[in-house]
Amino acid sequence: MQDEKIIELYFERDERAIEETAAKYENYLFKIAMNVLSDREDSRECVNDSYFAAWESIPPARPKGLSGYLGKITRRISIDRYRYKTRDKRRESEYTVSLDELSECIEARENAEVAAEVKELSGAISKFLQRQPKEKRILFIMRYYFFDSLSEAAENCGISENKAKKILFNMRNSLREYLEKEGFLL
Amino acid sequence: MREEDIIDAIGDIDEELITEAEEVRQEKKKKVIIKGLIAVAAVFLVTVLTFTAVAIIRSDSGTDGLTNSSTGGFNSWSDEDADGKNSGLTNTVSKGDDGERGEKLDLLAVMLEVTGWYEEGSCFMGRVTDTLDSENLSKGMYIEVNFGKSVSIEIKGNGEKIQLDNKPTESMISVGSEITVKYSTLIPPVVTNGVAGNPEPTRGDHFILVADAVVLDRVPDAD
Repeated sequence: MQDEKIIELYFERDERAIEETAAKYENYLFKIAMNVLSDREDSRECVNDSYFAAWESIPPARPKGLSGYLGKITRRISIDRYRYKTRDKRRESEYTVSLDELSECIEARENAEVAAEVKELSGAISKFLQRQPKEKRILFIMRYYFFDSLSEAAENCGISENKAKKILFNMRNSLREYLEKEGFLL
Repeated sequence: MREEDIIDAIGDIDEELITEAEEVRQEKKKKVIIKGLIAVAAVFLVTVLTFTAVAIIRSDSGTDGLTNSSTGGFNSWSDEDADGKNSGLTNTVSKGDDGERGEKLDLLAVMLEVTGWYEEGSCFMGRVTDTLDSENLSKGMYIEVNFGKSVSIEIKGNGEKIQLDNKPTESMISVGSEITVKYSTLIPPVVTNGVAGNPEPTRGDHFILVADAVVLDRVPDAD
């Protein structure tokens, strides 16, 4: 089914929207989740959560590209899940527990600031990537957006793993310089 | 700013950039699928070609095997006359070691005169009365033909069995194109009806035998 028709189903509040989304994008979304979590069960749950999130957000949202929209949701949910799980592990240390407790005191103040900063940072990274040659920016996105393994990203771009490694290394350096120049303190 | 923020920021970059990379990923995926399909098709094609080649080779060797069969067979029946004479068959006599007592004939097309039956009618000896253009045969040869149980004939020297199920005269019976018996109106009843319970052939009966057989002896024709 065409993306437009699936989106229409969401707007009509027709539950077939989720069925059609799953039929078309489940593997794609599962791959994104797996790249983050490396756990089939957690990834499956994240994908299901993504369907629910899409159901909750469309409407009012009307995504231009459904795959990109869903991918972004799955990525975010998977990262949140990953952080939640790793935070649980860190709680084993009293030091990290204390740190987390203290961090809650400044969280309220930080959240708004961080969200704004992340938005600005995101815009800067987008600009940086747009200035890069197509091959390089695609490699960067595959590695740091989709979290493809280095070998997988290199293969998808049709280059050797070593070359991909070198390109990414140079891009990270260039990005740091660019962000520092733009006033982002890293 | 934390490292996590960069990850979050990358997650929020322009959708166009994401779509662009995603298209490349999908394209690569398609290529992999197509490559896989091509590989499967190639394997299938090679398998089919291999089987075809093997079948052709086997078919060829099968033909050769028949032609060159050491047990001897008929090379052709195509130019035989309706009356059973002048069969035109290319008969060969090989100095074989098949029979204990005589030469093995790869092909025999002769008019035989029954000279004797023994072993309860399952075997007869015949004397060649007409060679029917069989170059390597001569009148007076004695030929031994063994019949199997009731409705079959076993031609000694070849070991093959031929069914004789009351076939009409002048008909031909073939078994796997290796052995064929053709008999005339003079064929003894025992041949047409089998052995058991039938009267023994009368000495002096004549019939045409076209088959592998064993020449027992060469006796100069009294004529």
